[in-house]
Amino acid sequence: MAPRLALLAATFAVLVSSGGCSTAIYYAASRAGHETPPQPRLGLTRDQVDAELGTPVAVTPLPDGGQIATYKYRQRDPKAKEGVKTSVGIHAAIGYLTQGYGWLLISPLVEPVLMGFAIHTAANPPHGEVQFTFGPDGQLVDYGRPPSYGPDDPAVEAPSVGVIRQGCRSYAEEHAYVECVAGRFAIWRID
Amino acid sequence: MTFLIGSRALRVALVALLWCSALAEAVDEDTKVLVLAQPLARADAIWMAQSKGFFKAEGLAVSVRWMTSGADMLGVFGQGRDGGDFVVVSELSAVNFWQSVRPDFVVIAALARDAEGYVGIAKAGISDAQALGAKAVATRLGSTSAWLLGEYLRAHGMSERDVELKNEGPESILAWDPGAADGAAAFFVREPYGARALAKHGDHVHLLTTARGYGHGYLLLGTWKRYLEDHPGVAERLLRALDRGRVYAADHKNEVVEFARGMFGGDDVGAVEADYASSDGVVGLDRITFEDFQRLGGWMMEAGLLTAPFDPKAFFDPAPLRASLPDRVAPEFP
Repeated sequence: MAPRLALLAATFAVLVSSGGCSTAIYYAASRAGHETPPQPRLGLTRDQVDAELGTPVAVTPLPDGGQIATYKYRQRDPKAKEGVKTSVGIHAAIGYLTQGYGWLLISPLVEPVLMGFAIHTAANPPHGEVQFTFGPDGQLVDYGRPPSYGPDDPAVEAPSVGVIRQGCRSYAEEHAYVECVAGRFAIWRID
Repeated sequence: MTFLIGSRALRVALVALLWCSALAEAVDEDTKVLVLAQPLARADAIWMAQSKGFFKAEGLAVSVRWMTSGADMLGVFGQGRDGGDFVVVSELSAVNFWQSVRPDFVVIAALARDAEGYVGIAKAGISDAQALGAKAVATRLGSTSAWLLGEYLRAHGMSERDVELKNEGPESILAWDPGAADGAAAFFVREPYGARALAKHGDHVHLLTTARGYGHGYLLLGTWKRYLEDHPGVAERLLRALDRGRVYAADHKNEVVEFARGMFGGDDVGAVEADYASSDGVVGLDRITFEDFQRLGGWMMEAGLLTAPFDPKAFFDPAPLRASLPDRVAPEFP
């Protein structure tokens, strides 16, 4: 019983000290970075946004006196998340196939290789770029760059048939009511 | 003792100096104003007021959030405090929005308007309004083009009931087959789509009409009543700067086009130039505006968009304009 407990304790210690290392690195890397592009609160100053996201990689002045600032940000790495599963899976498989003994003999040999991959993954995370528009007063006005020029002919939403009928009920006389509904139906192309 | 008195006097002087410098800093600081607007050349008064420092000269630090969709813009503006202080919006959207939030929202000036930019393009052979009778006429329903089509028909003794309206976006005029027997007889659209259709379809189509004489599409400057109450004098200064921007823009087409190129990107400035050519700067509330909105209110009522008759007294607030540019307010405005 005692040797078996000692074996389990030793296995646990080895896993924590070596086997868990790659998993821990992958896990930490999988939690770092932004899952979605960062969106600082509108109205913040350039300094406040810089403090949050670092110095912009590019700044383009705008004719209104404002500027477009491009920031690089660390993205959440899906490969790191996969790495956690892979690392745990490999150690689990080693333990399963060798009835636990592999954790003492094989895992310490495999772990440096896994750790190398984990460190490489953590050191090379994917990066995204995000642009913000700052106004002439240096405050964050909008996410992204100003939209492209475009004459718009915006339309208001058509009232529902029920609203049209209801609105025409002010006409007490039936003919006037029918005329009112027919006129509105024609304007909104309702058959 | 003398030393003690001297030290106290020094401290008092220091505090006074700090207080004075803080006060001076507060006075020097420009009033921050956030305007929401669409990227249209009709807003060139804003563009020039920004780039030429006219806002700054009025002690205003104006930032403009440019938004493509008028509906999105009003959604943001409708959020209140952080949504923007002023909004630059089209006439239909403004009246519609006003109805939904009345009596809090008011329009303080028309910035610009456009009649030549709204066109009716008809098949060859359709030479007047009567020739459209019982035929399909395409437009974006609920848009300024649709309203101006309604005005065109009414001016010729007709209405939407005399034609068969088709709900089409302006871009579909480019896919139009004017030769098809069952196709639309005409499109009522906003430029540059009319000019593009004329170029594409050649002799098969022609310019039936512009909106000149029937009405105008507008860009209006609106704000919250409570903003006017809480920030006395800001709207007046904004209007003065915008008027300087309007005058400058009228004389400096190249700078307007360059602003659009630098601000909104793209090398094709044809649309900017066309809009610039057909827009009239206003920065006022004149008789034409009053008459156009009487007609618009009537059409919106007829379309079932208004639940009560349009009330210009509640929709327009000419007070800031009257205080800053009194000659720009027509007597029709209360």
